[in-house]
Amino acid sequence: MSTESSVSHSPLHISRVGIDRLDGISDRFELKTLCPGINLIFGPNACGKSRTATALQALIWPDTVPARAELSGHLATKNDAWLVTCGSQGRAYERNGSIVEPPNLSGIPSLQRDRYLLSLHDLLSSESQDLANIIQRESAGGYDINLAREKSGIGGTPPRAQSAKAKSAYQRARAQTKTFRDADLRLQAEERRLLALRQQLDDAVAAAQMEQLLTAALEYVAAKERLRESVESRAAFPDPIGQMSGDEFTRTERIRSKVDELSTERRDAERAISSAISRLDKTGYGSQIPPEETLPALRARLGLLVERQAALRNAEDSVLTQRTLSMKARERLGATIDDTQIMALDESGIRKLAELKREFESVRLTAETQAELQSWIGPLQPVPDLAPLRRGIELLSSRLRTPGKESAHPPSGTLKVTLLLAAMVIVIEAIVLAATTSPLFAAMVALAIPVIAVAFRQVQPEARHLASELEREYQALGLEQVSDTSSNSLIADLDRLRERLAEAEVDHAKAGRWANLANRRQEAEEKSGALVERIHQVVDELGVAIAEDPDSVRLIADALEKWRHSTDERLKAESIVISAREKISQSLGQMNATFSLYGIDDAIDHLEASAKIDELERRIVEAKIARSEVQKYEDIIESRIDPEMRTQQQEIESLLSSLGLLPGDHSTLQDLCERVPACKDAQRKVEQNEVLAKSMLARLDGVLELSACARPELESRLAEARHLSGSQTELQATIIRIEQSVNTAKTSSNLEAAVADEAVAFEALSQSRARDWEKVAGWNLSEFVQSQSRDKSRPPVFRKARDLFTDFTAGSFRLEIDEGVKPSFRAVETSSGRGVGLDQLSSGTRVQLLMAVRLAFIEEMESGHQLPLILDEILGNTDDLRASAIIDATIEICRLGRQVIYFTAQHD
Amino acid sequence: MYPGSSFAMDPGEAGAHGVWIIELERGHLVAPRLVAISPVRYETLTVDLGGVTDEGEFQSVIVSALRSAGQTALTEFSERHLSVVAIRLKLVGRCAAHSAVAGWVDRVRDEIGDFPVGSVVLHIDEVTSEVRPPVELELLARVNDPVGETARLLIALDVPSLTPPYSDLVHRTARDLETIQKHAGYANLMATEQVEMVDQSTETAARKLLINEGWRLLSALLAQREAI
Repeated sequence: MSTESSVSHSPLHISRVGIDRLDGISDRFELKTLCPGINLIFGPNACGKSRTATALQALIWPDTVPARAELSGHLATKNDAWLVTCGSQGRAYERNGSIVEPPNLSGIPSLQRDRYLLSLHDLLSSESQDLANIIQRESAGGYDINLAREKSGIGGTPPRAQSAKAKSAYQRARAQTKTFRDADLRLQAEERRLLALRQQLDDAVAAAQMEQLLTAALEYVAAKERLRESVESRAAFPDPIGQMSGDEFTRTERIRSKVDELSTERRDAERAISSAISRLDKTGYGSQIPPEETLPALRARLGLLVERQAALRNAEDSVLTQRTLSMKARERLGATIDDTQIMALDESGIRKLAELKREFESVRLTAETQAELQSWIGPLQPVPDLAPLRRGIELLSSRLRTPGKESAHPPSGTLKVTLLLAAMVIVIEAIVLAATTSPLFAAMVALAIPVIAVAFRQVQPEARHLASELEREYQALGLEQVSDTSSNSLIADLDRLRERLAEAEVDHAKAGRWANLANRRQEAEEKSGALVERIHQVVDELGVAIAEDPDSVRLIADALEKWRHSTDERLKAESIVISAREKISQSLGQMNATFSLYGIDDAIDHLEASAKIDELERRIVEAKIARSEVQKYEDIIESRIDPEMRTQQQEIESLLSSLGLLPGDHSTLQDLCERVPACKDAQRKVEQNEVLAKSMLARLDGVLELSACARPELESRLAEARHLSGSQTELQATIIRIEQSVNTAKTSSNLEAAVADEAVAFEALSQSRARDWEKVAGWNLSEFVQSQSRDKSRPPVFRKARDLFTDFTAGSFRLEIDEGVKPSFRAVETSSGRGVGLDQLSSGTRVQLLMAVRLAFIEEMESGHQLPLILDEILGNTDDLRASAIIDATIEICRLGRQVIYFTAQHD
Repeated sequence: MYPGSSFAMDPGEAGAHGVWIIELERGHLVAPRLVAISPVRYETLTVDLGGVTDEGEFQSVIVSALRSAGQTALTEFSERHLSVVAIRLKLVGRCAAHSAVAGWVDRVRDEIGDFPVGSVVLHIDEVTSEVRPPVELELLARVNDPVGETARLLIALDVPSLTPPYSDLVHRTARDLETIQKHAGYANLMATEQVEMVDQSTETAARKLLINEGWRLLSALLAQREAI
């Protein structure tokens, strides 16, 4: 900067610009070899000419490099060559190949860079607007102070105090506040009065309360007087009466009546006791009642007696029965044997006869059984030989199992198919089972297949030889010959042989039975003969004259046995009869001994003994009842009547004693009882008066000192309180009236809102003054700036513009300026000396004047180098005259040393 | 210690207001503790708009500042009694969109209204803008144009000792201010305020006003250039 400042106003020109990236330009490009003079840059519309102009100016004012732009360029001054690089990494400057700090190449702020950019729009404004104003604004760097002042709210004229509206509003608000405040003062006075009246009302209410208290105090005094009188009245009664309830005499009379009733009841009980004792004596058991076990013992003995009596009757019946049986057995013996013989037969003889009879019965039974069996077996038949039949059956069975000639050929097709199917079924089942259950079945397949194969090949040729041998042996047995050797015939023959064998075996069994039965019949006949021999022998031994045939002996033996048995039974029964009679006698004796002990006559049999027992039982029951009655009435007397009588008498005596009376002084008691109601009345009055006095005293709660005041003092204070409380109603009415008026005033007045409105109005007035202050300050400041600009910067700009205008018009015009607060301009035609107004200038001359002022300002502003002027299509849509003027002016600018870069979309 | 009003009465009484709890322990004073019981709290909130480029960003910055102020009011001392925070918003900083800030302020006040933060509501009581354009006065002052003059004036007003012609401007402005103050229309303000501005204080006020108006004019002038 320091170096450049030393060479001020030397031109700076841009020799190259490279745009690597810039919004609005699609491709990077470069402008090379820009010359220090006029540079025409042609490009179609929207190709980025304006953005290129921005890039050119950014090389001079780096702080205006657009965001994200990457630029570079070469600048040249009189002594230095500059390389400027702007990009995302920042800005870099090289001067003559050396990196240096960023210089201030322009010496003016970037804000003013638009002064170096002249567009068609700027030039056209010279025709559409007041040129004088444009010249003024251009001479001021394009700024319009008046416009700025208006935008700032200062206005276009010197400000004055604008207080009228705010002041008026404030005064209205203040007057309103004063009105409400006065009303509020009145309201406050009323409220103070209200306060005093409320105090008076409180006093009156307190006086009314005191009136009630004093009235209560007077009532309390009266109650105390009544209490004293009732106490005195009560004291007139003697003390015992106070303790009495008044029914004492009635109670003693009731007790005495009760005692009389108990005496009567006692006498009745005593009579019942005498009667019971009399009945007890009649039973004979007055001193002692037979013990409880007597009757059960007697009844047990009676039962035993009855049993023995029944046993006696049974034994007697048995004697008679056996005697009859014995007589019947004797009759069966008849005359074949007399009584002497019978009696001569001893025990062993009769037994021998009985044994003979039993043996005879056995032999006869055996003979009858064998006869029945022989009849069932039938006649004996010849028995066939069983061995050939059994051998024949064996041979035929073997022949049937052995293949013969008729079957000595290969197995039929049917058999083959059957065997193959069977083998396949076995194999499939084995595989399925092996897969589902166990691998063991797989082994079964391996075994089954050779077995089937062996079976399939089993038919041997030598079987035919064996069959012939079997047939020959069968024929040798002499049995029925076989019809043919087919299987069916062989089976039929075999069945016939088996039937014949079964029939032969039955015949053999019958023959065996016959042989056995014959032996046994022979034994029975031998036994029968031996038995006849023995009968003769026994008869002889016994020496009785009885037929010696077996049937007779059997009948005699049977009759003797029954006779003997019945005789023995009769003797046993007679023995039992004797024993039973002794025991009956013994039992009766024992029972009669007991009867005699308790005053009962003897019984002769069990019936009479039973009646005696019943009589004894009746007398015992009567004795027990009588004794129980005696006991009962004695208990009544001892446990109830006598104690109760004693209690009642003691109660009477206690009552009399408690009243200080002598025992039996019932008349005095009656007199006292008659006075009890009067005493109770007196006592009740005392209590009532006490309660009344207490309640009256309770009403004086808080002012107990009133209870101690005398009646005159209370009456005096009561009169005073009544006087005070009398104004209560009037005070209340007055208070209500004032409260209503206060409430009305409060609702109709809103002092707070008025005060708030006044504060708002005051604030508005204050703000109005603040605004006035700001306007005054702003006006003074803008005037100051305007005058300073006018005085300092405008005159040189105007002078330079005048020179430039003459140059641009090639001396055809001269600009005359009348400087003042509002300057005026006039162009003078140098050839004629004729002055014309700006509005009379041609369009080209107006443009030249505008360019002159713009360039004048630039040159006046520049403190460093002359910076390039960029023209943006300033010749577009313009007439030849104006275009020629612009071109002339541009050439002149360039001639003065300033680089001009002209952008255009017009190729011509 | 003067505890002051336990309730904040006007915007001049900023900060927490309440009662101070003072405890003595064995004869020694324990640090006094403020319990803020005032339901209203006045605060001046300074918001730097430096770097703000559009209205959306402006609203975001304002809302964030209000929320932060609300949180501070809630957490500072006791927040149990606080219900309203009256905010005097002071906008400062250098902003390229300085000329649009006034419009943004009007709209943001309409849109935000009373701003709730937790249990309190923030009410924007007043907005003052001291937002400046992002310019270097020294650089602008190099050019002899209205912007340069304004820049030079602002630089001069920032210096305590004024020299002509700037001192003349301040004197003249102070006189004009006094004239307005004594204007009949504002007599009520004088009577109520009961404050007579002496010359020095008037000149101070004038300088302050001139600085504000200078920046405003500068903004307006620069806005003309930006509009081109």
